[in-house]
Amino acid sequence: MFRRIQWRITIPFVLVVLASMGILGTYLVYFVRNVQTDNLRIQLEKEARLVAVASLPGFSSPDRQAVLDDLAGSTGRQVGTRTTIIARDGTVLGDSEEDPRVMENHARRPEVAVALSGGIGISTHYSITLGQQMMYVAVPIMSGQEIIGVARTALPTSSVGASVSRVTSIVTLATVMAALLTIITAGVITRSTTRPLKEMTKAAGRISAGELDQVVPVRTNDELGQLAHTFNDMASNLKTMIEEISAERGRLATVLASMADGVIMTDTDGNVVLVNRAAENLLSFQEKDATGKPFIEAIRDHELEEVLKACLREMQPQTVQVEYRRTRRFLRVIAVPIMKGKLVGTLMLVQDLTEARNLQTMRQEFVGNVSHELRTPLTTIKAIVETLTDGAITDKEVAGDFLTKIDAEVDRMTQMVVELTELSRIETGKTHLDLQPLDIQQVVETIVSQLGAYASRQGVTINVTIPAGLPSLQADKERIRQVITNLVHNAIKFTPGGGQITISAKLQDNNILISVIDTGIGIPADDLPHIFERFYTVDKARSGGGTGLGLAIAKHIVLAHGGQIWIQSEEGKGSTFNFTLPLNPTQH
Amino acid sequence: MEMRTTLRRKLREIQDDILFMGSMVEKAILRSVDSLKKRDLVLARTVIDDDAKINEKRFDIENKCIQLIATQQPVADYLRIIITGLYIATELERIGDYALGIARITIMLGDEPPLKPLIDIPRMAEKTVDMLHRSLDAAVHRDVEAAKNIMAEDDEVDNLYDQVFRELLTYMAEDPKTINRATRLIWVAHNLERSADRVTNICERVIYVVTGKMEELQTSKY
Repeated sequence: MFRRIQWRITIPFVLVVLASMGILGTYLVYFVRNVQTDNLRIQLEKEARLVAVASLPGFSSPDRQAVLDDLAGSTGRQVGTRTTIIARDGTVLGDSEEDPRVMENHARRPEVAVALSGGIGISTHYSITLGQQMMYVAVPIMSGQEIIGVARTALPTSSVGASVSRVTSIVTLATVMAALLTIITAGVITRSTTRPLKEMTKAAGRISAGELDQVVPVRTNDELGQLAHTFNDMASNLKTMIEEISAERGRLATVLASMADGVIMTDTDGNVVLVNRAAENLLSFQEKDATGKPFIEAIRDHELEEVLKACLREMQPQTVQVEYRRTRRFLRVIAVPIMKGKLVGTLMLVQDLTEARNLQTMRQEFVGNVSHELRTPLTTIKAIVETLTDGAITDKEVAGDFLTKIDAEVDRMTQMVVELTELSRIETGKTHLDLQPLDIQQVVETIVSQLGAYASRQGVTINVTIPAGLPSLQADKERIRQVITNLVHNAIKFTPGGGQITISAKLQDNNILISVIDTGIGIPADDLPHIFERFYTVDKARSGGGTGLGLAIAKHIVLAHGGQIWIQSEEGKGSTFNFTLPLNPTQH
Repeated sequence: MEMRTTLRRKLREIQDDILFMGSMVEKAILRSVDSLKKRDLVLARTVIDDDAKINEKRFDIENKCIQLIATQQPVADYLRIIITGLYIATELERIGDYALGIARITIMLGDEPPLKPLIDIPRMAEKTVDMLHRSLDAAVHRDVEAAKNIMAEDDEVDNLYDQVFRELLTYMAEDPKTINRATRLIWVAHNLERSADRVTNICERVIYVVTGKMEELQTSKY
């Protein structure tokens, strides 16, 4: 490219030089030839006139041939010019170079013919006699008013040619010199012009490759210098702008990545343009597999696709709630059109409603459970009442039996209602804990003596291992008794005959750790996480008529005291219920 | 060149439509089994109503395919892809009908007490839908390997079907009162098993469209 610029400058310059030298040379050659030829002609004419005058006497002598030939010969020798004297009839009378007698008649020679008619004849032609190009000038020889002959002089024209060729060679040499100078000068100029251009090209190349710290030297104050200066300004502005843009991008990317809600951007055709990490997780796909693909191909949910299409069609925000198959999450998706004068795409916000929905489901299940638990005893009572109405009331024995059953069912319902009330009071934090100094050993002993009869009926032994001198703690005695009773009662219920139950207490950090260990049937691993939920029973058939609320209440009492409760269990081997009570509880 | 880009665009549209229909069918199967599990008659009716939309989508795809053949005169590969699209849409529509059948059974069982907690039938549904989902992925990516793997997984569904069948037989043998409910549940399991077979048909077509060979890699027991 710069090579081409060099030639674009050099070639015209050389052409201009060649043209001017050519014109000058042609003119010089023409001029020199004219001047030389004129000089030659004037010289020949003068000499011819002298010969004409000198030959006059010879014409009148009797031996004119010899006299005139002598004259021509001597003149020719002295002047160095070929001299010829010709008679009126064209006969050559004398010649300086040749014997006139062998020469042909010259009357028809052009210069001679002109001279015979009274003019001055000039002619340039090839002389056979002398073998070279000659200029001839002929003048009439006048005797009074009568032309008696012609005097002719001639010289070779080669002297003219020599001058011309000298001039030509000088001009040619000058032309070559000038052309060389032009080429060198043009080269130097183009080089100095293109060098900053080359530098800027290289710098621009590096900028486009990402190296933004480019400065080109400013050498001159001319247009190129200004260009270099502007180029440097541009490079530094570009750098600032790119840094700003990438900082902005970084901030946006951070915001997107740290959002809990999923974000998916699509173009107007519904192709995925951008997604964030939350969207990848909620919808289980990889950004690299999704970008550029149609939404349905990446997300594979027709209800979400419908929302997207509706949003693109109506240019209004759209909302839908779906259970998404791949992740089994319950999602709310809001599709918002992105308008920049016209529609350019959509932004889809993906919110995870799974937790909220689970809570709602739990509440619904709770209501369902409560009504179910209450309906069972009510159904029994209703059946008994109907039987009694149908006449069983008259049978004292049967009636008494039925009344006992009704009494038991009513007790069961009462117990449940009491427990439910209790649970809801503890859960909402409305109960007041009556914190008193409490001796754990004493509480456990009371419970063991109360449940002793039940345990021996089941054939289960209860051991107590509580070290002496445990510090007393601040707790609500009645409620702690309720918790331990519940745990021990459960342990007896689910431990087959011959089993062991151990109640232990020990100091651990600032807590008392109380454990109830049984060698019973244990709890399946699947059920462990739910064991403290309300109404949760591992196996309806084995619940033994419990309300399913005991452990839920125990958990809430322990939590209210600022303690923790947990369970370890292995199916078939037994369970261990542990809970801690802080020595100095802060009221929760 | 102009014609080819139009053709490509239309093929893409058809592919998107098939994926859309695939999602409709996946959800129909899952919802029908969910309705059965939860005795949710409202959900069952939704599945029945939605089947009309599935059928409509299928005709929509069929029309687009026929129109494409008529107006673009596709040859070789393109024609094979279109024909495969037609075939997949038909198979999806049939699976949709199986879902419809399951939803109808939910309604027939109605208020009858549940025979047993449903464990294996939802598992069959999960597996079948998973296979269906991946078979369409394989179709989109022309992935012969994936298609073959999915076909091999049909055994798992067949085994689950055996298990359900045997279990329900024992129920019937023990108590004739369960025969009505058990038979209907067997029918549900059968529908799921057939759905999985349809998925293997789709996989066969995927292999065909890539290799040009129709191979019945493995025949189902049923």
